[in-house]
Amino acid sequence: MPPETRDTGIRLTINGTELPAENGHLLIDVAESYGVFVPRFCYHPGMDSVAACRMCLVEVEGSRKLLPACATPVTDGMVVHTDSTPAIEAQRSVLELLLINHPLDCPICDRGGECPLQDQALNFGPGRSRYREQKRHFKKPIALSELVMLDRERCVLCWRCVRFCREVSGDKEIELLDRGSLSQINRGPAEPFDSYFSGNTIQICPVGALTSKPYRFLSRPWDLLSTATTCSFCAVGCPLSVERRGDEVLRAQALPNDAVNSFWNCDKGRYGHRYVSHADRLLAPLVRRRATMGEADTFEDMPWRDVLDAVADKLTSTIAEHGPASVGFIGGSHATNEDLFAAILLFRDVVGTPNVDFRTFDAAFDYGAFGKGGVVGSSSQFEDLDKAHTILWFGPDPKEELPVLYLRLRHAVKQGASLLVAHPRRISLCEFGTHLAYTPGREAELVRGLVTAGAEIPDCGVDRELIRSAGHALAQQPVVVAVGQQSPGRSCPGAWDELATWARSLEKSGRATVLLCVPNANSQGALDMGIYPGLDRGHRPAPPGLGTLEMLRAAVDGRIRFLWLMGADILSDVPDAALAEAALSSGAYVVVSELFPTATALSADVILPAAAFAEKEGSYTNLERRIQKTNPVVSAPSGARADWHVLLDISARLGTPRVWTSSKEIAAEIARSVPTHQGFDWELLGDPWAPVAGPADVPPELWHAAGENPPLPQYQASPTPDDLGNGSLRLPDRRLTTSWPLRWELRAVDATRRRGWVWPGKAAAGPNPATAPSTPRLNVYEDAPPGALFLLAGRAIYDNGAMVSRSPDLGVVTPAPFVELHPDEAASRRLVAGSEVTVSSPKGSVRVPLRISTDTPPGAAAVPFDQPGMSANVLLDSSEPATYVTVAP
Amino acid sequence: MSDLSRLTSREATFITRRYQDYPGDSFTLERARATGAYESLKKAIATMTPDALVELVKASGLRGRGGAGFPTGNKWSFVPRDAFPRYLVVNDDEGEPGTFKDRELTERDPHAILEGILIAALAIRAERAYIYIRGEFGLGYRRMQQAVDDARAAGLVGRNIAGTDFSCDVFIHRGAGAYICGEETSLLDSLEGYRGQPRLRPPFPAVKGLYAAPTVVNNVETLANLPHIVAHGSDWFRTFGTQQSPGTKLFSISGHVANPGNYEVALGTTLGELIEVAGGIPGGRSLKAVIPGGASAPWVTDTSLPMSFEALAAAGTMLGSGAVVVMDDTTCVVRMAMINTRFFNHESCGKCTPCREGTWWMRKVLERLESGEGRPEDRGLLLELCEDLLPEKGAPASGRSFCPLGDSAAWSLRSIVKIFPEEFLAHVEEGRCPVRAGEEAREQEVRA
Amino acid sequence: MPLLRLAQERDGWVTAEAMAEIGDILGLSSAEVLAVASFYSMYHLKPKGRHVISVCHNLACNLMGAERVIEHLEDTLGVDSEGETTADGAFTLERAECLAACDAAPCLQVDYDALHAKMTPESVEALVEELRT
Repeated sequence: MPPETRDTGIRLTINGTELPAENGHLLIDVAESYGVFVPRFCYHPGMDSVAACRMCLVEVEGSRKLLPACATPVTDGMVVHTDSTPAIEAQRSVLELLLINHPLDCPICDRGGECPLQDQALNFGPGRSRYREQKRHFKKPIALSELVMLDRERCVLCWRCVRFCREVSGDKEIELLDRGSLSQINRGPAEPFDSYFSGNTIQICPVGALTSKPYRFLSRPWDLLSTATTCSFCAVGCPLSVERRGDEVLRAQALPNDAVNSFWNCDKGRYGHRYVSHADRLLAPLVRRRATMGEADTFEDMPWRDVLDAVADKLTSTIAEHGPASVGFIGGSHATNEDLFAAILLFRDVVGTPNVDFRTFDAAFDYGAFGKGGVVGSSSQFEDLDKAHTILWFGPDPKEELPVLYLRLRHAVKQGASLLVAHPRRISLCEFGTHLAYTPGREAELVRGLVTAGAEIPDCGVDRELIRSAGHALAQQPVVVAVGQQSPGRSCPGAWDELATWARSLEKSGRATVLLCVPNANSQGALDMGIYPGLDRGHRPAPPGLGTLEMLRAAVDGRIRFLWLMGADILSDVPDAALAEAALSSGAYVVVSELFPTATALSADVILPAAAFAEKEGSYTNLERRIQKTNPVVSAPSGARADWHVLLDISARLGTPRVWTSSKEIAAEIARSVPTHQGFDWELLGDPWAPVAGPADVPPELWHAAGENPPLPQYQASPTPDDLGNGSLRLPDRRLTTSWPLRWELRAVDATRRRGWVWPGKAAAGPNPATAPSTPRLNVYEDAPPGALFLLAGRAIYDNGAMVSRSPDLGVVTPAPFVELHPDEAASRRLVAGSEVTVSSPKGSVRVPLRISTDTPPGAAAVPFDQPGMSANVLLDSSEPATYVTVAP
Repeated sequence: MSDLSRLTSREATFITRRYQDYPGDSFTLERARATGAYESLKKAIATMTPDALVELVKASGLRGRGGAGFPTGNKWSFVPRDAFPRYLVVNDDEGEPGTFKDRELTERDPHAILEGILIAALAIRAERAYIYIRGEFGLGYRRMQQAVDDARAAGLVGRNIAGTDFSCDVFIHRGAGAYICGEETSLLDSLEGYRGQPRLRPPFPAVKGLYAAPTVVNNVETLANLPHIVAHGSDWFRTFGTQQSPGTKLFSISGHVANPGNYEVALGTTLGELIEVAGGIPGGRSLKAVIPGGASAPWVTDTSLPMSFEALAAAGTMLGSGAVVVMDDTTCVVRMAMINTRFFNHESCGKCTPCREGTWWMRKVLERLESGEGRPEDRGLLLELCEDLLPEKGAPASGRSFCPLGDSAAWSLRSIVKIFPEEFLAHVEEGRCPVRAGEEAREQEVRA
Repeated sequence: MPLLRLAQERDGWVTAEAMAEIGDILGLSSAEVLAVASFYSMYHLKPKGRHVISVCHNLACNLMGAERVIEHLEDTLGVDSEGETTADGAFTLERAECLAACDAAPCLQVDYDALHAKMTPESVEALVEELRT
């Protein structure tokens, strides 16, 4: 931030130069923003100051003691010296003390080369130790979990990891134990350190005490090449640094962005990307060879040119014989906007079919209901959560599905927001939100109660007073209403319609904004690019078309004769396995574009090997409409191709050649032709490697404001060439020569440069005919068949999805399947926890171990949607709004 | 000797009077009431507003008896006027080596403390008071709990005390072995059930203390003064002690004196007089050094020093908790320094680097020195390490550690090394303790 | 903290199960419970003897001969004074910081309660005998 923009605040003097600053900001941040780096270990801008390490002591005139810059707010007229003799002596002393019990085993430490302790010892330390005694010893290393290793001898007890678990994630599984010189970080005797956010503790560890078990000893940091990109899993879209050596992805770390993820990401995003180099990757196009009688079909390799010809021929003949509406396209929620734009060109424009849909496990969810304002998307951004008075959560368990959004909600509640959690199960948010535990199936009744602020309360299982007080809280603006699919397979159009109408009316009056919680990295992009029935590019209306489930039914009926599945593993994801299976064996010609030979792919006629997330350039749109860049990290296997490339080739074969030769050119076309995306420009998405405010940002006179430093006796801090882009930078003495992990923590990193671009949330005027309007109706809930339980399926963070199951580091933490019942339901069936039980629906049955917990309400059975060994979709019946199951020994 | 008896005469001792007169049952409610307990409380409730009480205590000049010597009335007046609830927390976590006055008061006159608690609660308008009592104090805990129970049964604790509309309930929390909990913010964390580690200040406890509510933390001896101040007034109180340190003080005298124990004398009494009160140094030995205010206080050798907050501060040390440890010429100062530093290292909470690592290092060096493996540079190194924790220029307020524990370790050690440089050198040169011979002689004497 | 004290009174020491139990009661993780339990010196995280003898080794007690008392106890009990427990499970011997009884130096405490004053090698031996019976 340039100095002149701050003139509203106070003025203070740092190292002899008078500077403007905002009253009350922390001295450590203010100094840093002017290029004066105050060394630190315990301070992290994403957490509260504790002033424990004493590394940031500085001299403030008028104070007899040196003050910790991390816990000292700036005041008007303050005179600060970060480089006076007392300050420098204190810094040297603290560094020497931190190192007396440190093993100095940098040559074998993973952190060596990117270690804040090394960096700061070099810049601020005495260079030599007077310590000649025995060092403190601990058994090492020890595994805190399957992902995190701990070396207590390297630990400097800055407490960051423990504070992260307490303040940020709330998973208080590691703690500071023992006392004094023997203090140590460790886990408790009972719970494992299985936080979904555990990897952040490694990233913020300023030494090599916490290391990543999968990454241990794999590489030296200077051998890694880092690429800034955006996470490919969920719709939060955390910025990532993906790091490779050669052509192998070895590591991913969170990059900071205040607007999206603050400084954090989840372990799925951190450890889940090595699927790109899994041995299962498809390396060449495969075409089914029908077997002769009695033998199984086989697949044979075919050159791309021939495969594309064959697919194009089939497409042409299908259109000729059965009309364009016999063609369908499903998938793309993990593809880039540019891939999706190529897809919509082919299917809507060239083929002319209205049957396109990105939905898979969310196939029963009616996103169109939330498009009444013209745009099927959020009107909120994540930062609105911090300002909200009340947040109504009517979505899935975000800790499982949108993990970093869970952190943001937790933060918002800490900031004072009151959170209402409408969910039939007790989900993670109930730890700090008010749980509106409605009877499974009675969404519509609860919504009616909330919408009428308690004036009308149909029976929904929630206490009347609770609904009234919730109604009262919702009257306090600003409100954010977050909606999303709670349970795959469950449809309740009436409820969503009424909630959407109400939320959009609040939105119009300026009292509320809506957060539409789409699930995947680019589900929102798919909506924007028109991969949804009745919705065209830029949220313009399109002719009515079939959705995913309707297309599959139409395939069974013979109305759909050609189906293109792009990264859509419908057999395991669509909430009706029987329907998916029937569709795949219906005789329709199925083209699958995939990374791996999934069961769905192996049922197809043609399998096209696709380039993966880390192998291509493009953009993702997160659930707040923020577009961010995804960048190639490694090259794709020689046989794999980016989807946009393949789709354009087919278009060309169908007579509509395009001149675009890169996704960048497609992005320019999106900006030109998609009304909502006018002004979209990859250049706007920012330079993720924006450095610490450099000479260009800070007036030159400040560089030397430090004046004469007392001579450093041992090691002069010497500027080192920076291999990441600013090698010519000459650093003044009081600035830090440092490696990236520490720089990512600096407030002065100009985060606006990688904030992405939020497309304006307004669409062309006009009604949105996304789906046929449904009338709000109550009492969709019907009594369960005797003895049957309402099936509540929910997605887990680590599941059996094609990517997670092929991420070597996540396999060990992926939980086994289970069915969870309320103790009363278990008792009445004489079932004991841990025993194998059979869960049956009219569609199918599974055998899984039983869990008993009051988290699941009476009358319901909760299952994870897709775990190794059990797919809940074999139970689900997409023709019904709800599925009932029996549970028996 | 007549001069000495004046120092401890009936007129000059009021804190310990009840248990000096009735050593058998001074701790019972019956005996306490028969000797005037709770009369001051009733007087305060009946005749004084909270503000008037604060003013009275300010006027008396009473200073905290826990160690820091902060004026009690001022501490009370920092509580914001309109924030409720608010708490009084009683620091009965006596752990400063050499100090044993609070334990004695707790065991022998719990009602005096309780009456003081209620008066303080009245003054700061707190309806709840918590006594944080050191975990090792078994008898003290039982006596205090009995006192609270009896007083509650007698209508002196709880709702509508003595039939008035003043209510205050008193709860006891037992520590579990951590010196740092004597530091008031650590004590609050411990009282809330956490690790007792000091909190960042500001906010100060008076604004945001226990459960984030305004809180006053007072030492038990401080509180035991209150009934007397209320009964007799601030002018009377100021007839004892000095201008800046009014009143009497319980001094815990231990080490090489004939009659170790607690002695109540007026503040300003000289160190020499105090040692004489405790029977002087036995065996015809001479004085080597004195710890004037607990393990945290720098040592002194000058017995003419008046024992007041101001005089000891001027002499570069402190009155602290009033613990006087007397060491005669058979004492090995290196061993004492090692024990002192070992203590601070053991009790360091581990939160901040200088204290956690600095006391570890100093301890390692001292243990080596003490066992005869000293190196020539050790003495200088120890002084440098003291400088690292507590730069001499500006001491004692110049410490780099989070709380005063690290400062104390350096402050006391520096004084020892500076007073007895030759003894540290002798340990290095001779590879053994030069006064060990004297100590052995003394041991034989004890055996005989 | 009162629950930890209770658990120790019930089981003799603070077991991992007790910490999990306390966590359940208070809604804390076992790590949070252990963090507190391991901070304070009076909670034992390992089995201890029927009696814990804590001998003060701080300033005043040392001046008055605490080391001799400790050495004698180590010899008598056959354990070191860093919290070791006798083979028969009768005694745990540990060193204590100032027990606020310097007038009674050298002093020791049995089971964090009964204070024994002005100990000598002879009197500790008598005390051990008395506790054994």
